[in-house]
Amino acid sequence: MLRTSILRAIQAGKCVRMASSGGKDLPATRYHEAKRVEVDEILEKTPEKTPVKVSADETMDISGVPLEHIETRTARIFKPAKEATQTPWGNTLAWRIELDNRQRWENPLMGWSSTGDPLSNISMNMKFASKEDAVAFCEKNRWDYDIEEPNARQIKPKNYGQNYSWNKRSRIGTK
Amino acid sequence: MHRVGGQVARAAARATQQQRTMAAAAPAAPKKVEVFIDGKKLLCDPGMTILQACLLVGVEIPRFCYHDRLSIAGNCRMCLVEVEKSIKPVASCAMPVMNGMKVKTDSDFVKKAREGVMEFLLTNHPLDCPICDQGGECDLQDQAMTHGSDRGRLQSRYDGKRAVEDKNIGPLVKTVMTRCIQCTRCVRFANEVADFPDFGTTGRGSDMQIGTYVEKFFASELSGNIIDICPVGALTNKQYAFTARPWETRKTESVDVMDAAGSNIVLTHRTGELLRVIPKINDDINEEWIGDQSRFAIDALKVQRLLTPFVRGADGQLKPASWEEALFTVAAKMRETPAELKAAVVGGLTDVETMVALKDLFNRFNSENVMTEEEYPETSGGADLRSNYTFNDTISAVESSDALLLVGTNPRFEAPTINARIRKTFLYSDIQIGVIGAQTNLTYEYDYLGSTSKAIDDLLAGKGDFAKTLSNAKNPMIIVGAEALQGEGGAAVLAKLQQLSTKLSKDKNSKVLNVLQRWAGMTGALDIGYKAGTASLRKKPIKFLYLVGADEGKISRSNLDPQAFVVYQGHHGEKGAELADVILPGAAYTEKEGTYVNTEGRSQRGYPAVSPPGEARTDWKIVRAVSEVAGKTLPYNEIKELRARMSEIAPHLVRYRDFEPSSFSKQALELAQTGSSSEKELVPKQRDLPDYYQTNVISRNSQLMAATKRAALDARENPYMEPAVTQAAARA
Repeated sequence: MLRTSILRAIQAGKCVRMASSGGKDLPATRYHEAKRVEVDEILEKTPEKTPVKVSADETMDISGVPLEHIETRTARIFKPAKEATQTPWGNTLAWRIELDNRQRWENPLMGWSSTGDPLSNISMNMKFASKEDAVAFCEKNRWDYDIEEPNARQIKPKNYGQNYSWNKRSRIGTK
Repeated sequence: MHRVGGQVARAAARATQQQRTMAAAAPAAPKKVEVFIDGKKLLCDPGMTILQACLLVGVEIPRFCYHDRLSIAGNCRMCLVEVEKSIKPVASCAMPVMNGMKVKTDSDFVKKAREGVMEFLLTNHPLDCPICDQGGECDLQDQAMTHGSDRGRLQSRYDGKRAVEDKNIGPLVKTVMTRCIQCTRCVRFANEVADFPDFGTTGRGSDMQIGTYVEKFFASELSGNIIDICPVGALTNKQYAFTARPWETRKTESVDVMDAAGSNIVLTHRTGELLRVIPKINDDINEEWIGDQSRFAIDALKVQRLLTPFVRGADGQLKPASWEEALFTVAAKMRETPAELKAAVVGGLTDVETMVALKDLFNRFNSENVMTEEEYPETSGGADLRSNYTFNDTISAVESSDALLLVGTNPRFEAPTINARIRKTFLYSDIQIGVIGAQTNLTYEYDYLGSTSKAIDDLLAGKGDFAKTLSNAKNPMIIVGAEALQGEGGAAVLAKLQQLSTKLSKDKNSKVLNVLQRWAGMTGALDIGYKAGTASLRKKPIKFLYLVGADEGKISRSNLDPQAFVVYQGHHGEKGAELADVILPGAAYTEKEGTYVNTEGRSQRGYPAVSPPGEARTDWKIVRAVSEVAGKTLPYNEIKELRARMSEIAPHLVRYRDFEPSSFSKQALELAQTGSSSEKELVPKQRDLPDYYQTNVISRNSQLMAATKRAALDARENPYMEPAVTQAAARA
């Protein structure tokens, strides 16, 4: 009964509190005994937000990240190389971060691979539009970092006619 | 895509700007051609293909047969684009750009053309992606998804599906020829890069087959690269067959140590297990290729490893021991042996970190007896001047040289990737090559000048045609193998070559003389001041010898004091471990962070993919531990601190990937001592393909390399017999 009444009250779109009309501290058990109270009357006024400037540095102080995943780690900021096994270059466009590779072992329970390193997957999931973004991220997390500039792609003009040049070694016979 | 395209365009614009500034200096620079790609205006070099012009604005054209480093074939037709005022679609990989050309790469017309090509390709391609090793990294799979139709019209009930018999091309590459789409990339690679002209096509149309016609071993030291360039699963890695999918694996970019070129590689691993090695593009060093040893010898990293420390017991047997016991035994001996009776020898695969730590340790014990196993001349300036032992002109300079002299080296097997570059230069320029050494197949034509150092004298005296070619050349280069400089008369050879290179040098920046080292660790060792060669060890009976990966058998018990105490630290116990009283298990190059200085003097960093097996530990940490137990603690606990120490010794060691030019070549010439005019044999040890496969402790322990060597020997002896199905092949 009580539940349905509250439900109904909620359904009516207003959050109400049932105040008892009988005993002081007793809860109202009947709907008609209930006194309608607006939400705003109950809730305290929310204090106005005063923005406090917290530097990234301080955030890391209280973040609770174990120390072994802050200072001791070294990140490599790089653009992945083109997959030698495939033609396209799409994967080489974004910058990535990779932390020093730590030990993995075979878990005796299921034979799966285990690691004690919670950050071992970040290179798979994080992409940065620019080197500076990646650096900023590393600094925020207090990781040491090395930046590895990518090897620029070289596009050297080629032409089909080389196969048929009569006085060059690039001539190709029938194959 | 657009943003990225913008980046590429900016880079291109920068490049054009550079070229423009260069053009101001050089007369008659070719006029730029104006092309519109999808409405975007682009100025590009004449003679470029449409496909390349599209790359400049960041538009990737789908393709199968076109490959950046091979000649243009134009047979897959996947790269069709629409060109305004052309009725038919145009194969963009083969069509040169013309002024005012308007190219559309994404119109309905193009889409329809691509869809048609894709349908034809898939008609003759099996639907076996689930059991295909290329699945997940297959160009055909990807492009069928993006450019293909959702249905095909093949009625295999009536037409049947094309099927081709598989070929046996040796123990390294697995073939499933039914999957072949006849892009002929492998054929072009075999003919242009690997110089294996037996590989070609037979038949026409749907009967066309790729292969050697008579089945034979793919006799090339670069054969593994056809696995990478194959856009489908026709050629796959036999070692890696059915092991993993690319999306399950982790990739670690690292450096190869099988030769001194320092090829860039990507180590693929999963669940702490190393699965395969693929090349990483680096135009300065290995372009896009790696040698077969670099790619396939990794099976040795899982066998014959030293897993725990060993200490020789009272009965003369090596017994497994704890790290504590081993370290205390070593430290005690180290403390009690007088400084002049101590020595350390490092092998060719050692990283710079370990060598620095070891040298610091020995210096703390007042000993300067640290040396490399590989020899190098001491007189004529020897290793004191850096220009005497590095590849001074850089590997990529081979491409612009017009006369090349190879002395006592077989780059084909000592550094396959450098040889590939020489062959490329040979094909696409008018370079003249002369060889002093062995008359073997180097994959290019050359003038054979002799097998002894007398040929150098002749060149110095200006005798012979090649001497004229060299002196007329604008950018001459001399590549001398480290092997040629070893032993008696080696220093004289170096001195003569210094004289010759000074005579030939026309430009202040080019040193002409380039030394091709054989070991990945050698240049680094000489950079930090290791003595080259173990000769000084024989002068005094050594009582305490510390070997780090020295497995070439240059030292034996007879060279040492009868009571000598030998420590061996390394990953594979071979000849060095046989001598040892204490064995300390170390890490292989895939298991540790390490710096390697390649033959150019370019310092590069390798990263660990997997962790060392068993009780094995990172090498420099072992040395650090020994130092602590011995009471002379080295002042670095972390690799960062060690690297700071390295930069104190030689700053270029931590300036990764940069080429560090060497100076003092003039002083080197002053120190040059031609000495006696005795002739020296300059024939390199590695002459034929079977000599290539097992050259260091890792590849000697590799079963697959042994099988391949056997196959290569078979192929040499019975060139017309079909190759035997090897054990490794049967396993795959």
